[in-house]
Amino acid sequence: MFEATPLNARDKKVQGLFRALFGLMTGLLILPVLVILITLIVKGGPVLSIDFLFDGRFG
Amino acid sequence: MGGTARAADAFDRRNRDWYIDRAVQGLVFLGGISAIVLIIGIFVFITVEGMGFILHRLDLTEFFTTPWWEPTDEEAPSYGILALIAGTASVTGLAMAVAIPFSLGAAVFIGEFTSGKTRELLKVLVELLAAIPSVVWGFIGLSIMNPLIIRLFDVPVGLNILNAGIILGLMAAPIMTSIAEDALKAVPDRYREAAEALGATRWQVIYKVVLPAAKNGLLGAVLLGVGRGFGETMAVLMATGHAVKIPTSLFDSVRALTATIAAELGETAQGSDHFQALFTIGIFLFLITFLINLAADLIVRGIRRGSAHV
Repeated sequence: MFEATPLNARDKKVQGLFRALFGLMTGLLILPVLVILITLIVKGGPVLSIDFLFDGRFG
Repeated sequence: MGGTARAADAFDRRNRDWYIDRAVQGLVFLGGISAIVLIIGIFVFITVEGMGFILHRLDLTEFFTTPWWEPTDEEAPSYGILALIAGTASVTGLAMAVAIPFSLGAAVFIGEFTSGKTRELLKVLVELLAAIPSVVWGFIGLSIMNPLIIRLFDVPVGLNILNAGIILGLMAAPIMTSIAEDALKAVPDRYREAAEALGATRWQVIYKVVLPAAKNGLLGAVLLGVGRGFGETMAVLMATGHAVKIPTSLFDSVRALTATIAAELGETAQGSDHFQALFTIGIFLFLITFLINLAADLIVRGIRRGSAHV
């Protein structure tokens, strides 16, 4: 009964583009959280131990 | 007799409730006013500490228009903060250029294009960004961004405006995203429904209806982000390179007002001109941040009043 006109199709395409763009922006904003967590775990992980956490001496 | 005792008992209970009510009111009032008292106390403290410099040593022209910050020069110390203002402004400006599109884009995506669990998950992840301590951001600037910038742009030092601007932009983005999303949420649903009833797509509703209706809230979010960027210390101290100069490119090292206070206050003789000059910078920073936050608050209040009349 209802047939999409070229204008409807274009509007839908524009909406899809902006949805993807804003989704990408959100992803890029969240990416540093993962990078920071991975960096901290990779660089600091090997040093973690019970002694590291509870030993009062430093150095 | 029994009726009289019951009436007296009821009277006592009312009295006790009244006292409890008053005590709780007093506690709430104290809690509410303590923040204001603390802020006034901080302002009075930094003003008193900096007053000696302001009254006897401050030359406004030298202070604001010369770029030479050499307070430890034994012969002729100079107290020009123009380079520090330029450093703070350039880093904050780049941070806002990074943060504004990303945070507004994320706010629109989270608030208008997602729903249910996806929305909640994204909100949690964005809030996790805000939970990262500023020293960790500085650490990332120092250990990841610094070598990356040196390799990508073939520059001798990676601790510069670009590094600090990106780090600061990512730090300011979560608060801007949260407030921007609240501003979008505050737009009445009947606006959206009316636009959709006229055949608008979701994007058209956002672009033509929601964003214009939420523009004051979005501006408030941006201003709060600027305030956050302007006042940030630790990450800026670690990522800017800490060089007192007026920058001419994104790859120049700079020094921010906040970083100067953090780096020098502990090394300065208490009560000296240098010590008091740092407090004068503190007063300047306090006033700028206060004005930015006041403007943001007035704008957001404006929206609330406006939406109340709709």
